[in-house]
Amino acid sequence: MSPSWSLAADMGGTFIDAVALRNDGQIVSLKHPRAGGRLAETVVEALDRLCAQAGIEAGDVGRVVHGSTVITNLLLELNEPPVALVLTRGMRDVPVLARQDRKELYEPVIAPALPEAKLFPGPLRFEIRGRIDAAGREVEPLDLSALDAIADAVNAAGVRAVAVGLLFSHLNPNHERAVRAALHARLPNLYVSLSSEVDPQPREFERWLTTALDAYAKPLAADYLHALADALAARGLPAPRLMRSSGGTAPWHDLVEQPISLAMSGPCAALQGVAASISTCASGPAIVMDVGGTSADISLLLEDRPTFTDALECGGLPIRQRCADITSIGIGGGSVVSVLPGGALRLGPRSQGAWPGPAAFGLGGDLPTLSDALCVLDRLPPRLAGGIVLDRAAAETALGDVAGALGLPLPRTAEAIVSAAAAEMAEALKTHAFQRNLDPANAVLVAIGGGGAQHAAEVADIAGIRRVLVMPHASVIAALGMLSDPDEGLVQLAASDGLWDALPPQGEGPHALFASMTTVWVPAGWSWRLTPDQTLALEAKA
Amino acid sequence: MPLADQHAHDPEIALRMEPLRLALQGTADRMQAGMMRAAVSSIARESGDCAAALFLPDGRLLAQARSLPLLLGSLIPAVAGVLARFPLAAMSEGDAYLLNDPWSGGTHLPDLALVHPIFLDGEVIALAAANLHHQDVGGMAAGSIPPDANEVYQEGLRIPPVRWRSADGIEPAIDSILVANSRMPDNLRGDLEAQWIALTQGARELRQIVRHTGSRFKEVCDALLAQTERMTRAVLAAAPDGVWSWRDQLDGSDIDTAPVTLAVTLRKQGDALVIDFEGSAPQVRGPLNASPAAMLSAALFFMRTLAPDAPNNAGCLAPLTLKLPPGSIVNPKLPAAVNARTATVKLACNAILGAWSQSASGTGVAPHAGVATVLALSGTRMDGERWMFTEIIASGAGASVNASGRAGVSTDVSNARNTPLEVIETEAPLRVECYEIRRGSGGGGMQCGGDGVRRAYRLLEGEGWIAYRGERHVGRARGAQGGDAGANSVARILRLGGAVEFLPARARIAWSVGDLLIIETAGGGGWGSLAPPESADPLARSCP
Repeated sequence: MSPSWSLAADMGGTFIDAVALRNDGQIVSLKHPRAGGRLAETVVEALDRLCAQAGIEAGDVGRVVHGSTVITNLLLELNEPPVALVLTRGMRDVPVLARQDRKELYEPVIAPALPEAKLFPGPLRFEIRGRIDAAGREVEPLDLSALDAIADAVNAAGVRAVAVGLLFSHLNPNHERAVRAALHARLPNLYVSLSSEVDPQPREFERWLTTALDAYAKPLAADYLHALADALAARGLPAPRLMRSSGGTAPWHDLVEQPISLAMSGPCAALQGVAASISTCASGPAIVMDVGGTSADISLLLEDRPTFTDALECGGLPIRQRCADITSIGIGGGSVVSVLPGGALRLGPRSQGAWPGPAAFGLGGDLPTLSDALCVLDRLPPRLAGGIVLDRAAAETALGDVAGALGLPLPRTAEAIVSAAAAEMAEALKTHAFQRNLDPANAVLVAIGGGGAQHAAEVADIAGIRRVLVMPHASVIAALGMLSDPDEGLVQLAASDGLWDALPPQGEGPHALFASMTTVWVPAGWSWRLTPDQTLALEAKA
Repeated sequence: MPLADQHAHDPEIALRMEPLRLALQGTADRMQAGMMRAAVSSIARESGDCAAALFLPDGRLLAQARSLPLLLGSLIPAVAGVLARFPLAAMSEGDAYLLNDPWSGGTHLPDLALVHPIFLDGEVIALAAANLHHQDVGGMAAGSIPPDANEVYQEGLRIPPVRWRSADGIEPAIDSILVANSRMPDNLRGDLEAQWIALTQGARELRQIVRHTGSRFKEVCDALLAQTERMTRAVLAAAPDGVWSWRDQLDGSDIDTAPVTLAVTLRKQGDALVIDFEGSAPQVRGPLNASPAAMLSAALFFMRTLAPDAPNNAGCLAPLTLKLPPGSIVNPKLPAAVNARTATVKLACNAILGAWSQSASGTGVAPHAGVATVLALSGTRMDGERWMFTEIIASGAGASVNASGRAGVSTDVSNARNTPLEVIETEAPLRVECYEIRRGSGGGGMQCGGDGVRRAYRLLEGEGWIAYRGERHVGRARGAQGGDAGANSVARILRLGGAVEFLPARARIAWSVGDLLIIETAGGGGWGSLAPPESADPLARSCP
């Protein structure tokens, strides 16, 4: 019998979403909590649980796909050891000088362009003589003799990874390849990233930084992916494929070679999941909004297909890679609320994330967050997916200081916070749409993620959007998206029954709707109905 | 309690403040983005030499794009200039007004400001405004920024506030005058159209914002302005009262050979501040004069730095009295030439920072080097093909009490990006031999000033011209609280034959194949004096 199941595991910040899809469209899914700093082990545990629950044998499994925020988080946190750079002579400061502009116009003290000491401190930036010109011709030979000293210094510093960036290597990679060969001859276990392979395009700063970040991620990515592949092999499961930022999947060892292409793995999978699910129910452009605990991601589907771009930003660092075109802002359920001197309400950028989480989660967080405001407004169910029982009193206590500083009663304070959150998301949405020549008023808004449907209708109101769709499986849509690789042949997902069982099939806001893995807010002036394909549609009254 | 402060405690107003702030900020940014996408000239499209903002009908700034401070502040006098000539009652739906006259709210002639009233239900609810540095508005030299001008009449077409457009379209008479006076009429028309796109984007969005915010839109706007004023005054009130002066100088030029003094005095009392440029040099013959509209950009920049988290509106100007002595370099009389005002505005900005760094507020920074070197290289290849490119090279930032200054960064009212070396070598027969931090050029101190940068270009073919506009070849960015001054700028050519030629602050000079041009930009001021040896502070250190 041919293998009938595909498995997918999406590692997020809080949970691993595991989904099994049979070739007749049947879906089994679960959320498995992430514990501590373990990476590969937790993924395998989630898949073990899923297989046990659904009675899937290793021999029934045709493929295993994995998407991961591991590289995203690594780039946000920058806790890995620094890397060494080998750059064209005279250019060792190019990655530090960046593009010479500054981000915050009015901050009196100008922040560095990037955290040099964490990424590639001065003593680890080496130069080498040799030039390629703008036509790709060698105009000065490479000085290979310099590499002995560089290899000694790299070895002495205990550096595991090196990025090589030479001018015009995108036109002629020979010098960069020669540098790698010489380094490997001396240090066979050194991880080396070449700018001519990671991002073969002109403009040296962007190419070199992307390459440096690729090298930065390599040691951890290699350890992690090897461990995962070994564990799956031990269970007789197929070798994993990885979800790339640019859509589609690739064999895991490709990502060991170039881990930077995992930077937007998860968000891209979610977008692909929506694209696979929405094909029959939307006409015209769709704006997808994915709200989680720490961020809100916004993207477009044009003719039911994800849109792509060649540049992304991660933790403020520009990365030039083909990638799903997603705007990410740091607003989510865990965003911390503050009041500036002068009485100005602000949300974020600080987030309590999943740990210690909002005060209402009762996990030790005591700072006021967006989720605490939702709790106070009775827009969250008493018990969340994953089993968290909300502590309303803790939420009220946390919001007390905010209410005091604003001079507003508690419920009005909570309303102000939720309105500010919707406004943040709506502005990001408007900017994303208008810059791509789409008036958002002409689009439908698709809500996914744990918090998408909570804010979608209010966001739509601000942006002039009249219709919101809440996808079935919204909370595990990324894992489903990994199995919707267009190259692998599309499996039409079967809508599972029971998802919205607890809901009346239609009604009018204001009303909070609680389903098993999704919470929905229907504001005044909006109505809802369940469509035959198990999508929940929210509509603004004329 | 002022009315607007009461608003903050009215739940119906308070609830709407943060959403409205975000919506106005987002709209202004999208006006800017739309203008840059639509612009024809690369100076606006790539370098972002343009700005957009929203105003209340009475001319108070409501929100501005996060773009170029050099131009943003100048939109305030431009809107005032339009309102003085065209009161609200005289405006009609679909109108747009144009000006560039430095004596009616303009800066220098290439910056054309456009203002559009936004109507809802027959009433002006706001004004959208945008300005953009145009390629050519006539005058004695292509580009309309002649370094040898000594009258505004030589700099191009001077436009007092006029109606450029009505609901019927562009006014043909105005259009024909503009087109007849520009060497690049297609660029002029195209870039004006880009400004118009920004204004219509702003109008469309603002009408949706007003509908969503509801009937109390005006009160929420007032509450946001009051909030910014409150936040700015709180910072001033927290700093000790005092009077602080600062003097700096612009390098001389071919026309005005001696250095030109800029003097500023800050008088801070309670929650109010006077910025007074008394003691600055009389207006000069050359084009370094800065109009009041240009100077407001420097003042607005500084006031915004006091409470950078506050809403982006006119509230930050409420505590300020700005004094610009008539007939001086910062408020010249007709017919002064004004096209090179950028260097003056930048230096003025850093003089304000220098004066403020003497206060014990602890929030100051030492003056930035503040040099945005403009380098235009051109020439002819061996096959006769002509080439040229222009770039802007940044200098060092000033140090502050807790941080050294950043090296090679656009500061104060500028924010230009550098030009990638691979772009330069693709467009011109040049080899860039280095782009590096000029270590040790920042001023010493407890915290070191930011270093300048070094860029070196070798000409590979034929002959060429170097047009160099630097600053701080003579003057230096002084340190604060006993910190040292940053190093001077230095520019030199190493001729193929071995001779070395140093360039003055403003130069036009020929070079030929094999010559190497090395530009080193100035360092920022240091912060705090190094402790004497007998009380050696372990934190004190010499700069690299």
